[in-house]
Amino acid sequence: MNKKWMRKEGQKWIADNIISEDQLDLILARYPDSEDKGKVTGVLPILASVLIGIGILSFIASNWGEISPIARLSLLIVFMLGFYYSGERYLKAGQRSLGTSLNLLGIITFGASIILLGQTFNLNAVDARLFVFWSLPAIFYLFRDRHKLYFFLIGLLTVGGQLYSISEFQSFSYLLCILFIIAVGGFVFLYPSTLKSWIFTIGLSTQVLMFITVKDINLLWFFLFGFALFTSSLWVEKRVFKQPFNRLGTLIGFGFAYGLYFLLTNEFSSDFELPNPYLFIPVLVVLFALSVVRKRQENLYMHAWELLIFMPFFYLVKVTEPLIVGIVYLIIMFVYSGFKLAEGYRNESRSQINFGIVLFLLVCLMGYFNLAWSFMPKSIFFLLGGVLLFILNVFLQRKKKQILKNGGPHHD
Amino acid sequence: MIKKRGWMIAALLQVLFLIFIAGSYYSIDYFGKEIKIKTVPVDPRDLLYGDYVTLRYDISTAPLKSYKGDAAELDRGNHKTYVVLQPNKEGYYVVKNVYSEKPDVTKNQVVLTAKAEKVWGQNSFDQIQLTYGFERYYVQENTGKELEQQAKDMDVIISVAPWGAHKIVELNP
Repeated sequence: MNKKWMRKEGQKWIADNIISEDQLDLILARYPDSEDKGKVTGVLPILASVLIGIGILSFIASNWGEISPIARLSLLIVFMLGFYYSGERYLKAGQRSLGTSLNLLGIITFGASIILLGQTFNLNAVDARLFVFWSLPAIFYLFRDRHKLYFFLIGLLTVGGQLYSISEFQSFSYLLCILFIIAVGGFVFLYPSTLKSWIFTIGLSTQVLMFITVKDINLLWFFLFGFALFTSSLWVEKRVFKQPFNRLGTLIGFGFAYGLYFLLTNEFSSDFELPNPYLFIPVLVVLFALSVVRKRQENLYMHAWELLIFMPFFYLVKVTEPLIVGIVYLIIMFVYSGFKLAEGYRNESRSQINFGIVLFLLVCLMGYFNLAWSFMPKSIFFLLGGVLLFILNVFLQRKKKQILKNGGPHHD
Repeated sequence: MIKKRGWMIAALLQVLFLIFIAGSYYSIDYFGKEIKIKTVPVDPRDLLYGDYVTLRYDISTAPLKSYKGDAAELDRGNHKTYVVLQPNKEGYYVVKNVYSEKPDVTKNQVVLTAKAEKVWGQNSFDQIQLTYGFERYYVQENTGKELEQQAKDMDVIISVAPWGAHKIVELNP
């Protein structure tokens, strides 16, 4: 917090007789300056060490050819140990960010060493093993120091390594996935934080998506994963996982409704493939049952509409026209975003209302674009679309203001 | 004590790991068996990526009928297989058979692991593409061009250790 700002604001409070001069001083004393200073000076060593690291690496790289393999190896080891040693020294001296960034450089040097040695010795990677070894020291430091930079590095190494494995070798690395779940998931489990649990959820979903893509499994199984994520948000005991699981699961479900609507209402629906129903449906039924049971337990029966988005309407193409199924999806999305909005109004929660408004406007715009595009003159089409959106937005915002004024704003 | 010195143990393990990589490379020199294989022309635009040369070998493809296992396993890429090589009359090692389980071999044969995938051959879907892991040869920057000219037709000496590790010993035009 900015102390100058606090003092200025405090003067107004004194003028309005909310607090006295002494009380302001007491309040100000509660927030020492040091934190602010620490932030600025904390960034500088990180920046400095990154620059030094780049300088060293580019110097080695430019003279790489003349150095014998054994000398290269020793040089890399010396640098790595140097980074770890000085990192440890600074950590002990209480310089957390400098020490951490030096350790980070050590880990990066370790990975770079493996790559450079591989090139020197013409060892070709055949899988993502490199990234598994690379993330091990980062995991050690993460659980020892619990610094978020290690957390981000591991996320980057595991998910990035997976991406590399998929694009380079067309194979999914189970080892990296397990490592990701244990290190990243385990850390969030032990030391909860909202941002980190989001990173975990997004990373996990990305890997599942990669798995489904590389194994050539029907993409609709990812839809089921979204449902599973949503269901586990109801069952999971740890609060920190609840929100990201719920939101991302919902988003996946909504994304599929969105995509299916476009796919089914357009020409290219002929090659639309369905997953094997004998496997798909039972899993879906189990998930459905689990969510309903939980909703009942928690007495959240009112929110049964949330499950609407996860119903497998796409199987209807077996019995009716794809166009009709597409329209069903449009209706579902309308109903869903309407309910979401209504829930936000009922809870008087600003973030829920905003989320609902965005969803609702998105669906309106999409339906309008897809249905009216072909039979309207283009200028009228855009004009009408803009006006429609504008009116809707004004209406929804006014309603939001009314609601929030009545009950006073609630922050989530 | 252990908590305080933990970072040293971690750093030591990393150093050992790096030395292990180098050591396993050098130990191939002592324990490995050298085999000679022939390169085949590569699609030129694939040949050079910055500072390494892409090599393709005579043994990079094999007829599907040489696979002793369920051919359906090869529909998806990246199936791990064991390739038995045997020298021909001119002294070049060529593919004898490809197995899905590790086979026993005679003295003059060599086993390499490879990732196999079924690909289109000359006229039908009957070839296996084998990737061994020595398809890239790293060279000093900007020297790849010269090698590129010769890469069509070279003898490559590869040393294979009893535990399956391998390295390129030399490239002979």
